[in-house]
Amino acid sequence: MAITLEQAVTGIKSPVTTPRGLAARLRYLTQSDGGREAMARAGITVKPETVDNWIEKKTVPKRGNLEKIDAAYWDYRRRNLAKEFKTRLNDNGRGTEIEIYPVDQSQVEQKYKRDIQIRRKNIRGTLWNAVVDAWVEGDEDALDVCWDEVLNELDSDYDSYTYVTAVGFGV
Amino acid sequence: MTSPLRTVGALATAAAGLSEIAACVPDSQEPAGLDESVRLAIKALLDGTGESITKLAEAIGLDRPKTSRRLDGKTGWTLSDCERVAVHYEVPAIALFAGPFAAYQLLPEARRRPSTVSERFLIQHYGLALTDFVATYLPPGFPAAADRAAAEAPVQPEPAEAPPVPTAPQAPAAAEPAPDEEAPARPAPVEAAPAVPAPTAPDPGPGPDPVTAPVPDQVSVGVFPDERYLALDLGPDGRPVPAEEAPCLRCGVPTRHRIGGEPRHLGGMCSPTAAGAAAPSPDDRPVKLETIEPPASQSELLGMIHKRVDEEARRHQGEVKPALAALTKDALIDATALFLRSRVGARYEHTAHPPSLEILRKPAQNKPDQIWEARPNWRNEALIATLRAADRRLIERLDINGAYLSALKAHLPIGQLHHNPDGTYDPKHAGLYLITPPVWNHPHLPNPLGNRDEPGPLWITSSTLRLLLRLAGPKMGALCEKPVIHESYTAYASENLLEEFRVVLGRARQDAIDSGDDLTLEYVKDMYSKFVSTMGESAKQRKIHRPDWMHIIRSQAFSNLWIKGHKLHLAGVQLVAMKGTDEIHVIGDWRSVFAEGRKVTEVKKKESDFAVGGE
Repeated sequence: MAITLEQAVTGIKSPVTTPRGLAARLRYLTQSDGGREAMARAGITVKPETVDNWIEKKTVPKRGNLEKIDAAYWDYRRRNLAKEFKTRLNDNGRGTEIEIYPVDQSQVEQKYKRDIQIRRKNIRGTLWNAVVDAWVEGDEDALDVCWDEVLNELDSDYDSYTYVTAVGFGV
Repeated sequence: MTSPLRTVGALATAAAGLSEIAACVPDSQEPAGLDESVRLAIKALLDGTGESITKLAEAIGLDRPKTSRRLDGKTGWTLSDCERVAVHYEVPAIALFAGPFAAYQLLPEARRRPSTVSERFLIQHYGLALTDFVATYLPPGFPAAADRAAAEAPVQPEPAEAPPVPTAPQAPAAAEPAPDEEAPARPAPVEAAPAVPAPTAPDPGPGPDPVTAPVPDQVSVGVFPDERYLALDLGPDGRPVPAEEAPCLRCGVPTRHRIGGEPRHLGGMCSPTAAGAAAPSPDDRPVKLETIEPPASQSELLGMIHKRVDEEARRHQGEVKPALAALTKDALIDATALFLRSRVGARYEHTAHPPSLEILRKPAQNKPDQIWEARPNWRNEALIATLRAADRRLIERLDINGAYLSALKAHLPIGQLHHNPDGTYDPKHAGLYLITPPVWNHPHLPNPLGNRDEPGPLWITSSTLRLLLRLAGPKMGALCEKPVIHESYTAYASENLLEEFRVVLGRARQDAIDSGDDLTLEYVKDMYSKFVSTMGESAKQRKIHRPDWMHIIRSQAFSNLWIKGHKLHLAGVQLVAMKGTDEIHVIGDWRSVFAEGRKVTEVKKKESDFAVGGE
């Protein structure tokens, strides 16, 4: 699920090392309190004047700070997208259906192969919120807990889906 | 000032909730169990404070779905739940057992939500308090109809804001049928409205389909169209003029009120019965069975298209341009809905979001993936050279009608593509193949693989592969060698996944051409072209993500074009060029092969021909 969410993340394409990419990231990060918090989280400890100088192109950030700006940008971007994702996945209470693709058995000896079907399951808002939150925080344990919830709802043969190849859904 | 329409609408909803609560008050006709009384008490508190279920859920430490289930009576409230609810609403826990009215009365004044839809309005206009209004004016069976309307139209113009009535002794009267012996007794609250349709609501024939056959004359209480809002005849004191009891013209249930001198219930609040007959007795009430969505008929799918066109045409008063703009905006959503509807009840359930393959991944948004769709872009250079030297000849430009529409009939893999490391080919499968292309030695026919500059193996789709294998076969005169397959990603295929969708769009297109309906024609065109182009990777299309289908459909269109070109070639027509999805330039009598017209089986001539030679 995290992989599918990750694939849905879009943002500034120019790399942070280009003036254009840097300016766009700084603009995104400095136009709200959340952005400044993200910069602090990423470990950018420079004075506010220094950031102003970066924006006005008087000075250029050091390499280490460039990487931190990039990290802060993507972190903040994910957080903002998470809100949108939650709305979309919740779909006014309808939820979004996921397709669960079973584990890849191509390397398994024929006699041990099991017939595992693709399963579809509609997931509703609360669980999606938990999934998206866990994804934003990069919390794999929380994601595992969410997956257990999904398995819980699968009813039959849920044990076969503890490990899967992919989970597909439209976000 | 709240408009009268809205006020009554809100009241109607309030009354619906009220009746459910009232039905369970211990001294009503059919007392309910303790479970039910706790449930309704909590509902009353929730409603009385105007809190959301989510907030209540948080306060009592349950999640929202669980709380909802408890509120709906699907699960019971445990004693510890009750305790927490009581603490949350600052009422004694015992109040919950005493039923909704007691609970509501014990709710601290500060927690009650302000009553914005005013009783004042009612008192001003009818000289009545809310309870009296409900008891006096609403015909029996009305609350059940309101429940249904509320379920069907969850978005009210204004949410119900009148709180449950605090005066308990009067409330049971709300649930009592109006003075009328024939009116059915209220059903026990456990099997309330959802299970049993409104007693006065007519049910035309068996199995009303919510999608296809909306009951035309059913009164939707939540909507209140103006013409249904009729004021009662009022006396000089502002109160309704009392009159003899007579059957309502609309629903047949006796009423004391008059509208314009005729015995009628307050406008729109009762459901009409056939010929004003009396309401059916409880035993005659049709049982509402749970319905499974039946497969869509072709006419239903066609109806989906026409309905949208009619809507927009009406909204823009027949002006084509803005109507088309609105339709274009929604074409993709509508096409997806049409496709999904067409798959209901179908044999195969396709997968919509399979894990993406490396070869289908685009390196950047505007860079292509590794699949070669074999788009033709060919000029018959040898022929053109000889033509230049010869006399002036006219080249005609032909256009294939609805090329992408026809290409929807393609063998599409149903499920996830599986890797196949050897070169086997199974005609029952479709997908992507890595092949070494065969040599092509026919200067007057385009290479079926298009203009490929790079030598060596390439990934093609099953549409192109099928064409190559056909050309290598004896029927086509073995025009080339069989391509060598190295590996493939395939899945079991069906040619019918988009068949219904294609047939319906094709019919809508043809009907539109026959009747000169440009609006529908453009809309249909938009539907299928957008559907195909976004099914791969698009932020606009979230219901289906099948880049493999998109490639297969496109190369099917190119393959169809090649076959048409070949047909012309066999009939002695000289091919000058073949380009894009639907364009062939020819010299010769093409009309002996294809009829000229706008059907998908016919060929259209582009306006401008051009001449070559005679220089």
